[in-house]
Amino acid sequence: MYLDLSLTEINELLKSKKIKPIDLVNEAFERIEKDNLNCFITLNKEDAIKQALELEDKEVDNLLFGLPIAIKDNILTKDLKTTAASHMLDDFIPIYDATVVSKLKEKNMIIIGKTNMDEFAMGSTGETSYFGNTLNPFDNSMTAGGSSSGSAACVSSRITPFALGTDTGGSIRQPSSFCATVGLKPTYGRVSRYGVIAFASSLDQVGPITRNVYENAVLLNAIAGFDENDLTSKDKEVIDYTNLIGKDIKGIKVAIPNYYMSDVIDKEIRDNVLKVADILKENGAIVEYVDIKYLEYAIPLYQVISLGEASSNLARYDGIKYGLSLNGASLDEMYKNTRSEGFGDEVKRRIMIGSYILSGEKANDYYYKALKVRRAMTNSFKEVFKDYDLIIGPTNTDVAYKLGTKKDDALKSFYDDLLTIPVNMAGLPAISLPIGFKNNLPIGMHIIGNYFEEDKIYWLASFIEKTLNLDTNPKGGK
Amino acid sequence: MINIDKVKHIANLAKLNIKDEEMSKYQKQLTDILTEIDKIVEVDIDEDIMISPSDNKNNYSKDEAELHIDRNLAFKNAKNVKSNYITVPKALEGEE
Repeated sequence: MYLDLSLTEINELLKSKKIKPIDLVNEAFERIEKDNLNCFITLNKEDAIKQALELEDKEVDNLLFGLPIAIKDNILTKDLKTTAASHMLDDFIPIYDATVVSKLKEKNMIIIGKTNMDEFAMGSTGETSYFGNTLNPFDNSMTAGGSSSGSAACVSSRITPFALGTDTGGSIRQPSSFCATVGLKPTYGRVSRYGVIAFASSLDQVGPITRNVYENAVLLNAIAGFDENDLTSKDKEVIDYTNLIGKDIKGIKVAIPNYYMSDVIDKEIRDNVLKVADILKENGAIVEYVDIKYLEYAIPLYQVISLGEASSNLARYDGIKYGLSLNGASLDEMYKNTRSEGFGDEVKRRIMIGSYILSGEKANDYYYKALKVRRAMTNSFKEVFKDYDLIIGPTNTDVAYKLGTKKDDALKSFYDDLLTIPVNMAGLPAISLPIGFKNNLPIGMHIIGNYFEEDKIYWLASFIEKTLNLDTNPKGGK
Repeated sequence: MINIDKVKHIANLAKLNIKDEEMSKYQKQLTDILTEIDKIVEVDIDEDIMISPSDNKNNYSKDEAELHIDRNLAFKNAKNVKSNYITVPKALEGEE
């Protein structure tokens, strides 16, 4: 089973022509056929096979050459249906590739399919998808997390070694935590958002979901960089993000925010994080507690900013240019009929709140106030990074829970992102890394870095990964 | 609890219809979220606003016409196309 080998092992086999890209593609589709997790919305089988055969005549010129990858279904893929898991876009065929997709194609990676997700990336369980639930590979009665549910479940169950997700308030890190994958949200502006279906433009970021830390860094190397089509992307040199992996961690300064160890977090989760903190100290790291201001306002802050931006971004679904289109006697009626039919409940709730808090005087009370709190929280993070290299804590308050648990609770999906939201607010990079299990369900650790210092995150993460040496394969066998 | 008229007002802002039988569900859920959001109003803070983490400067493109997308391609996903146009319901009041 080639897809169970490490990236470097697969690369060696491809280079020495012992295997061909088609062997990897066939194996991925065999695994998809046996899979019952509902990881995918659309498969790209015919095109993937064609591409794999074409690659046989090409030189294996990079580590990612010929490797299968799954793409979250809110990232545009030319001529391959892209739905954002919404009825609104269930027949939408993009006419161009997102910049991240173009970059993967330049590396000759092979897109296997488009992964299931919460509708328009709004949710933390995968359950708001128009295409049904994604199941957790460790226990099929549990949620896989969200919104990048299919991307995390697909990598976790070893269907593809790589996937892309997007993260607005925790949508890469939270499902990674629930599925024992490694998921990174890069610094805001490190990866182009061009061709990514917008949810909240000042928070959204694309990132890699992988089986281990090294492979995550390799995929970030491929997708990072300035893009003139996204002027929020940063014109800053892309370094080799693997450069610190394997280096000694002696003297590294790590902060734990007191809030991340408070009793809103399950005790067993905290104990697992503290166990890792002890290991770091034993190996010469300096670990200390800090206070970061305004963390307790993460949820209302996120609700105001992300929903305000979402209501504006989702105003484009009008039934005219693309997507679902219902008739109406007037233009206004056409909008309303189309949007009422096309959007699911979670999305409707969120754009209603967003429209309301931006209307008239409400904008001053809510939106501008939130932008002030955002600045203050960000400044508090910056203060910590004057003295510390990295911040650690749990990714989530607990492990995965039963599907359907709190489906009618309008606040549940927000509270799942309590610890991940502040990172998006500040625009910092952060990873979720598996560090243990509670009742056979994975526990994720959160490592937050300073701006554009993803390499330091990988440095610490790879050390922890190597030291713990966990078996993160839901079926066993690493 | 916000009242039904307010739910209708909010739905109209978002260009959504709410069915009568769903009204009480949305009434409760919107109230729950707005109650949570009110916590932000209570924060006493004097700070500059932060719209985005990006510190990039705006970069205006030249005001020159360029061909970005072929018309047929741009219309590929539109449902109501007649020759060179996308048709929509009548938007202005008055005689035909």
